[in-house]
Amino acid sequence: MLNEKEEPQGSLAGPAARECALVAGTCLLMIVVLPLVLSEFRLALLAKFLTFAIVALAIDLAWGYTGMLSLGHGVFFGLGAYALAMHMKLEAAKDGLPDFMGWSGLRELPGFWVPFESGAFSLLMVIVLPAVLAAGLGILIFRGRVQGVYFSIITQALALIATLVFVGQQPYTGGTNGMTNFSTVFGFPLIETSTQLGLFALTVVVLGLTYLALRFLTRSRAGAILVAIRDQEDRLRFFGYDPALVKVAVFVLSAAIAGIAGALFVPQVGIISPANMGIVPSIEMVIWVAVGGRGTLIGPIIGALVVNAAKSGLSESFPDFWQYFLGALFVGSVVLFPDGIVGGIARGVRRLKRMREASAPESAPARELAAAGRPLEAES
Amino acid sequence: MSDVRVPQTPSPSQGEGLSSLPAMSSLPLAGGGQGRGSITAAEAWAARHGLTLPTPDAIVDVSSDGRVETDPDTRLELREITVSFDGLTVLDHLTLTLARGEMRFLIGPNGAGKTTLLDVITGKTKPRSGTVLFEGYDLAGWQEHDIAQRGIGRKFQTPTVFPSLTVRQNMEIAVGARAGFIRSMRRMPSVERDLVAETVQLIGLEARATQRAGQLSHGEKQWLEIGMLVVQEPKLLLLDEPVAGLTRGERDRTVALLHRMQEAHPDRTILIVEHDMAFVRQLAKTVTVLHLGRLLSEGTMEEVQNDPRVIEVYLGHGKRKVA
Repeated sequence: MLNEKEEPQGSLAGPAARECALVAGTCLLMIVVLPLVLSEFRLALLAKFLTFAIVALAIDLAWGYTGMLSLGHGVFFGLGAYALAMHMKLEAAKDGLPDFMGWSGLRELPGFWVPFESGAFSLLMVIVLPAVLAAGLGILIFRGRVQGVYFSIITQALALIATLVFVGQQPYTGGTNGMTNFSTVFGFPLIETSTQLGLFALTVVVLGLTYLALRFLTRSRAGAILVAIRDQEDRLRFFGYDPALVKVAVFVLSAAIAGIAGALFVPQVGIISPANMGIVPSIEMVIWVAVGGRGTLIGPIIGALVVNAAKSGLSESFPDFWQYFLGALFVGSVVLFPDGIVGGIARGVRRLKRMREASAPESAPARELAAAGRPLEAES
Repeated sequence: MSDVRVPQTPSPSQGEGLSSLPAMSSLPLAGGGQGRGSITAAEAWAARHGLTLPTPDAIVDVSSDGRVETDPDTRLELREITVSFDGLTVLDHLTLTLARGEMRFLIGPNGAGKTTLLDVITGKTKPRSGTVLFEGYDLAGWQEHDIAQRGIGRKFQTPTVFPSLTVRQNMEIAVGARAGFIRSMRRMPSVERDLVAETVQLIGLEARATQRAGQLSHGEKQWLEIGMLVVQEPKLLLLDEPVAGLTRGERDRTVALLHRMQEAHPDRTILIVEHDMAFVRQLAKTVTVLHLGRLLSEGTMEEVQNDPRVIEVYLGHGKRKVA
């Protein structure tokens, strides 16, 4: 076809390649420069925030693009974290039992723990456990055409149930304390700076790859279908799509990404407990996305970093008041910037552009008007 | 009111059973296909003429793939469709047949059941009783997207497009429905891209292709939605009030669009629900009038307009000179 070269896809290869290069460059810069300028403590903090940024991306895919407001992503994050934590507990226990099992009176390793002695299996479970849970739940919910706020309520109930189960099954899960006192991850001692630097680099790379993968997905026609589901799910059905299947797929993908983030979180922070996966952390995750700007991919990353930086900064300076500041930040951003930080900036830029165009001789609106007035060759 | 029903099939032999019996030999009747043996000649004849035998269910279950042998020229058959909401009967044993390539208009006063009829065809509403046959397939138990995949496209009464997507993205979603979601992640085939470009031109929205659909005017949204259906190349196109709220100029453009569409796809069956009588007159060959969920009259625009029952319930009261 002659006109092929002027089609958007043809010219997209350029920007797409440039974007890949930009993301890769940013990641490399972060990996090289940040360990030099930040203290070990700050770097560890940033590494934690970056794992949160990955979760925020996962939530944005489900909520910002597909309209599924999940209030239970802490569970998927937690499952990924626990899957790796189980392996690390077994590493730390050498050939004995993990410490908390001994305290609970267990004599023998429970059967379902045995496969987690394999590192490969544990890594697989980091993705499979959240994905399977999301698939099962998603099929039930979306096949039954449960939408909107009811979906949110069910996912919130999931967060509650999951924490109750993990707290209640103390001999198997470590109960309220969760799992901590790790020594090594795949043989690398966690106390070593080099291990932590490696994990930081890995987190940066995973964040970059997740960003690019979602960028590719949301830029493609599939991304338009997700937005169509968000805006007019019922209409899409009459065009021949089954929104239920698409939503299950997106929910599963989102849960798997959250699980990976959890697995990156646990060796760097050194603990995973039900407090990281319940209702409150799940809602916090959504707030990162809301503050940063849902429906954009850079927004959730910024939101996760800004909110958590504010949280830790304020809690250091004002230990008694920081929660009020945090609350004010949420309310303020939702009231003043309903589209989040990125959405607010984008709107400001657009307004500036329009003002500049309005003063230009042939403005875009005028051109549009002229185009609209062109008849459709009504020759009947 | 069923005594005032007029014959449903606009064939010259309507009502004269004997004269149309020889045509039976050309029907792909029971046993003629792949061992689909459970309809009798009488039932097939009745089915072909939109008539219903005492046990309509017996006609329906046929071969393993659920196909009922019908006249190959019949695109859609509604048999004895009854729909009621909370005891209110919206469609009352309605029987309707649409032929291949036919453009049919459906008119009737408010509450006649026109939109409900479209809901039944597209699977949005399940009838309490009766059968919808699309190219011989019973649509009962099919989900909305299955029915759409089969080639039934519908424009809704209020134009419904995806507002935050551009005009072109809207079209791309529509054209990609057959391939499905997974393949939509891949690069769009050039056949589809050409089809989209062609159709955007057909509906006259090239200049707006990169604009968000939410910014379009009401009329442009109507055209976009029609374009999204056209690009799917449906076998049966259902248009619910395509010119409602349009200016006269916009209406004329829609008429031109529909004319062009019919020329390009003479095989496509189009069913249009419309209130705007001027529009109906511009396009209509066959008009079906619904009233209180029943078929009141059917024929050419002229016949229908001169039907005293129609004048009474629909056009009536001082508007006798509608022609």
